[in-house]
Amino acid sequence: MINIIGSNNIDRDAWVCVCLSPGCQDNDDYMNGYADGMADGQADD
Amino acid sequence: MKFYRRSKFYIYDPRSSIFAEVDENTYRFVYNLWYGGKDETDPETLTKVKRELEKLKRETGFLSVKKGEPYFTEVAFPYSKEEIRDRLENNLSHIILEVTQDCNFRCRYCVYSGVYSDERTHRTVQMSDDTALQALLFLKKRSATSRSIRIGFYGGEPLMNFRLIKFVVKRAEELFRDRKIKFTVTTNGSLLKGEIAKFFVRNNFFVFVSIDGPAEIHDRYRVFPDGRGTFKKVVENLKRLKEIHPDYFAKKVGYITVLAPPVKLAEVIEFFNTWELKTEAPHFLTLVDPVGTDFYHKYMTPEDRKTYSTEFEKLARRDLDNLIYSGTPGKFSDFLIHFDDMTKFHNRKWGKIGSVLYISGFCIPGHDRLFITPDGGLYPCEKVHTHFKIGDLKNGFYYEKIYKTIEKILDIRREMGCLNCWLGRLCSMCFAKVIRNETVRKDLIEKECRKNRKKWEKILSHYVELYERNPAVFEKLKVSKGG
Repeated sequence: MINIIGSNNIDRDAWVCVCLSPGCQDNDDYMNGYADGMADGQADD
Repeated sequence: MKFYRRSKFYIYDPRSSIFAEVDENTYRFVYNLWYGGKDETDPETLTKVKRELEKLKRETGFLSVKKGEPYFTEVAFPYSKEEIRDRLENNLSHIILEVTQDCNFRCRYCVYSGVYSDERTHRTVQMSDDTALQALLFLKKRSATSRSIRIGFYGGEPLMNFRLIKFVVKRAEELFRDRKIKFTVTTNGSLLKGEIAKFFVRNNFFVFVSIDGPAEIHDRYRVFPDGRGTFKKVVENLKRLKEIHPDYFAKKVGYITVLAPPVKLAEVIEFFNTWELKTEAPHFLTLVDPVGTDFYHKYMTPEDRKTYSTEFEKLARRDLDNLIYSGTPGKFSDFLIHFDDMTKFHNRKWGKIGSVLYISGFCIPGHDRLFITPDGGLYPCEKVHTHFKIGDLKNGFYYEKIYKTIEKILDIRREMGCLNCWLGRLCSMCFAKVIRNETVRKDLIEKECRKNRKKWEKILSHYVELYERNPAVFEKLKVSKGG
């Protein structure tokens, strides 16, 4: 059984920036620390 | 390839961008194919699985890339040079005027407060009538194919140059008689009263007011030049506006909340959820940018980060549960559970969509928003102000610079191995995050890459949970073009 999930109905314009807000999120920085986060991330790679 | 297991089994195929629920036999077969494990499924079932996968591959391109091959053949910008030029010359619709660089507040985390090494500081520079008019004519000339026009006012504190705002509204209405114009202003709220408030109501302005939470949180950093807190003043004005124009207030007043370190997330969200001045308009939460300042390091200790993480996870869990039970996202669902990205993911294109990886998140710089400074400089938005100048009112757009910047980003993305990355089609970053002082920074792109990986792991796990616990919610994940 294979059931594809997703409605397949937006074009490329929706994948480029449509940001209306000043709120790009940087949660990772705030959870892991900006400098520390860099080190954490490198380990992920 | 990405494999997920919750109570059901899922596979995400990067090339076709197909995300599918599969039965356990199919999951095991593909997993073993990918990781070289031994398949112990009986031959009859295996034949069925292979037959179904072959059929789907023919019809949709699912799993058409073999292990060891890159998922994509090329990294590209979604728009050609000609399309970029055409959009910027004929399809502008949104300008944001920096009507003044002056401000009557001295918020301690402000990018213009001096705590950011690469940013300007507060100045008394005001945009002139002539520059504002040139900006409107620039928009007029380059918006032939745009149905509506949006004009935003930004600062400094834009209401310190209210005279110019009135001038622009009058001239814009003369210039764009045939089109619907929407006006937006981003303000600290201290001057939002009397004639100014009446003017905004009359012209149906969308007003975004910066407010950071209850008085004790707001007043930590949002202060007057003499150090006094600003909460009381702003809230007085908001209350008065609500009393006099309740309908306008409910629909057209939105908020911007800066979460500044040490972030008291639970307290801030609790405050706004029960606030007497909450409205139906959007409310954006944004974190103080940690790049280019020591502000973050100074005020966000490891203990604060731990508290923030714990509170965030708890609030995100509650928000996702609410979405599952009620079918409706909460006010802060974009922030807490990336509801906007989840919606985009649900509506993504999938199938035989080609082998080229089009990078996402990057706008056509200046097209979706064009930020214009008092000296007539053009920037993609207020967030990249001073970092990525893309033109000026006199000479127009600097196309070669725009193309070169995009090329540079594509080069870095190729070098980073995006062709082999399962997250390729979902990974999203923007100019504001990767350019500093006119330079595309590889370290910042790499940082965005790491953040995207963590973010999408989370989004997909929420998505799967939603799918298993209340698939009816998916009907609400439909978006119109443009997200």
